[in-house]
Amino acid sequence: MFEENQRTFAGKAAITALLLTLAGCASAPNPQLMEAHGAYQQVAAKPEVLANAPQELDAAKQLLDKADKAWEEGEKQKAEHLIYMATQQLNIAQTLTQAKQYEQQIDQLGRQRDELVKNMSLQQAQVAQRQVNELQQQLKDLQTKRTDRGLMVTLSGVLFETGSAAVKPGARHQLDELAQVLRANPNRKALIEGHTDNVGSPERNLDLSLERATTIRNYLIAAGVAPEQVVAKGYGQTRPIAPNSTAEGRQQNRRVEITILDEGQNFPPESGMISP
Amino acid sequence: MQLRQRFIRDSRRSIPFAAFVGASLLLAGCAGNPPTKDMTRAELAVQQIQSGGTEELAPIETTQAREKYQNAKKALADKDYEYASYMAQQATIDAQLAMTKARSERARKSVMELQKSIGDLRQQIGQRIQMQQQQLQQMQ
Repeated sequence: MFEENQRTFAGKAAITALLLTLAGCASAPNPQLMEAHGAYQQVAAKPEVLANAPQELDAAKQLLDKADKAWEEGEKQKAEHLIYMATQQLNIAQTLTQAKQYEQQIDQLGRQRDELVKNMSLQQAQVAQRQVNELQQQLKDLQTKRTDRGLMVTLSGVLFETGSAAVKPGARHQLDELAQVLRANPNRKALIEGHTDNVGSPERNLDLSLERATTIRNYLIAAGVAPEQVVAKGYGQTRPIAPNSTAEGRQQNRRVEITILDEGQNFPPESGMISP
Repeated sequence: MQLRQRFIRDSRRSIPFAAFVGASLLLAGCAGNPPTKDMTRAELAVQQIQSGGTEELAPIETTQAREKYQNAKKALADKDYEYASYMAQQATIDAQLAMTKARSERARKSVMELQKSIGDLRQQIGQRIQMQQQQLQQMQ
């Protein structure tokens, strides 16, 4: 019986010694290290991280392996350092994933915005076209031409005698119609530009063209158009549209062009010769 | 003869000297070499986060990186090369995280701006359609 007890004791001692040895070899687990491993597992399970930051994730894994090794070898400080490195590397992987996802979103949203801008300018062009059509209908008795500034009305026929700025009675009908349209469209401005033939001196013609444009302007204002809606400008003989060698050509050159600007458009800065 | 004696005497004297040199080398080996590479990398990384708005977009990480680089420099001066190396590496990775964060923040802000401008555009288009419909109704 004594012998038996002794044997059991010896056996117990042996097991205890063995356990102690084992414990000495495999150091106790480090909670920080376990936490870092857990965080890594979580992040590595995310498909978006795998897709966007595979290298960063791999670097984190390598740092964790190194931390494991350092801890096993009892290099406590080195292990702590490597745990920090691994954790930050994991943060980088996650943050980079986020950054790349935002950047993809920027691409998509940018295309969406471009599409909207395109639609809007299309819409704007349609509106402008419809307004021009309406205006052209209203001005049905007058000769109109679409230009990039707006709708140009050329007052035809004999408006003035050579060298005179007085409106001929025959032109009144056209001007009354124009005044009516401008009154009906108070948010549209009209640019009145006078031109002459080459009879007389250029200086005199410049004065005359402005005088004629101003006459038209005054006529329109007298017919109820708001003064701030119309400006007059003279070009003299500088912009002929027909040869001045014939009487017919000269008559065409003695003209006043009225441009009804597109809605919301303002006068070009150089046009303010005679304005309110 | 004289020369030879002198040689023997010299070599005898040089034994402790050699031992001393050997011991010093051994000690130096234990303490390690200055972590020049780590320090250069950390310096570059900390320089990179000075510009480009990183400080505003990732203030915590930027401060951490700078402090750790200072710690690394101090440890280097104290010849604590192991700690200097750790601090330099951590400064580098903190700076990298700062830059990544700043990149993400910039992108996030752009996303928000784009979303806002898209919203504004949609509203404008909607208002215009409404206006057109009203105009059409008035004409009819």
